[in-house]
Amino acid sequence: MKIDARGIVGFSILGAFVAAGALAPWIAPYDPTVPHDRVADALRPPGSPGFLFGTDLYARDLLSRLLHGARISLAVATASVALSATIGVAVGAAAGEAGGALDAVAMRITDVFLSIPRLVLLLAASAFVGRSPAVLVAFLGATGWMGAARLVRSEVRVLREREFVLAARGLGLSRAQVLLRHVLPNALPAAVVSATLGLGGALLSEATLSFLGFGVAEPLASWGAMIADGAKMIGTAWWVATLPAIAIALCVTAANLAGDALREGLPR
Amino acid sequence: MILEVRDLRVRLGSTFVLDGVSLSIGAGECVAVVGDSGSGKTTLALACMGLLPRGGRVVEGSIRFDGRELVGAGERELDELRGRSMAMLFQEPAAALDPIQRVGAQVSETLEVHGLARGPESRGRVVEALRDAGVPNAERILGEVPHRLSGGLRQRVALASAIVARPRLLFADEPTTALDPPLRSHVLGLLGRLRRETGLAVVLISHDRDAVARHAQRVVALRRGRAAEAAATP
Repeated sequence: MKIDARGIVGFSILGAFVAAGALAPWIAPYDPTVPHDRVADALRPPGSPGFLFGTDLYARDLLSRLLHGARISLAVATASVALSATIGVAVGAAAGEAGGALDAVAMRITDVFLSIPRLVLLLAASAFVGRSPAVLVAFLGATGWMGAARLVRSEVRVLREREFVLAARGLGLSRAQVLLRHVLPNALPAAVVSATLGLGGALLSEATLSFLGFGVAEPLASWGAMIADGAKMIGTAWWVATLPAIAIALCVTAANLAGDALREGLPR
Repeated sequence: MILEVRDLRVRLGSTFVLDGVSLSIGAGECVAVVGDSGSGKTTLALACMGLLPRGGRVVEGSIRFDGRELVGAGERELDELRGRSMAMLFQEPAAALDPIQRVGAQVSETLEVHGLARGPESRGRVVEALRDAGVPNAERILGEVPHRLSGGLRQRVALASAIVARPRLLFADEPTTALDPPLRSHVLGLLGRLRRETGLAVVLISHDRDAVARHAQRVVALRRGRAAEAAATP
């Protein structure tokens, strides 16, 4: 398969952010949670000596917080997309292969999930359980699988009518073996594309929840929480909210570019 | 007799696609099934393989494979037989191979699902089957995906997957229609050699009268699901 220029840009940006997040404990200049001198170092603008990206109200180094934020934001987004893709593939494959009543029931359940406003559900649920990255992943994963389920179901329904599926049955493979060995591997590229495109959405959802105060809790840094923090002083210290916003925008755009490139590069 | 089909009636939805068809074939024989498209040739093969499409079912008659009645047999029993004791070769070699599976994996899968061989032994049998199917330098194409192969080569890979477990009966559903004329006689020649050397019984579905005359010992002619004639070829 061929990846075009957009895809290379997308994957490079994503890769850079992933690397930055993964290496944050070693490359971040300071501990992201520890304040410096609250009087002298608070709200320093970008470019200040010792603070490349400036500091926030609590005199914490923004570069360090951005790097550690990348770690949390990307990890939460990736894990929740992996979870929702797994659920979606399982539901879609079962519905598409079984057909009939099971298919109808599974798709109506999918419709019900699609009709619930995700944010409202997440806000309501987060009121009952604690705030932690793991909880966030579980919520985002459990409410984000419907697109993948529909996509995989339709792929499976098309693929199972192909002659190579009949040929495989003719060689002695059971229905389950044909599904696992031939149908799903052929449906997988579509699922990977949808997961890559879903990554941007998951990043935004994480940021939204954290911004609203229901995501990752202080003093941990996630990009959404940093924006929430900086929004209060956007007039006096623009950088505190703007820098994480730029990071989110870059990552979401990169995920979309990468997903588009994968979709177009797929062999058909 | 390896296969004995008697008075088979198959319904697909509300129409009878096969309406009283009989056929029998012994080891090393070739029986041709001829007829216009829509006459029920492929359905006959699929019914014997237990692979009728949804909505299709055997209403009457019997299909005996090696004395075992297959009408009403369970999926498990049929899975056991398919690929191992009887196999099918399809008309369109491009469509019958999984587009993302490599040749080696494709052919060895039959051995693997029946638990017949694994590892180096499986590889050896795969190469042997590819050679028997007329693939020159078989080792070289083990790592190829189907779309990189020519149509004739694909059909031979499909044939190799069908014969790798050494089945006793092969349904060849217009195996040469999608191929160029020089390749047609080559593939038919391969089937003839397999019959003579391994005792493979071949049910050749075809509308190529010449091929039928040259290869088949008996002919079953179908017209709208009924056996119109059953004659020995001269």
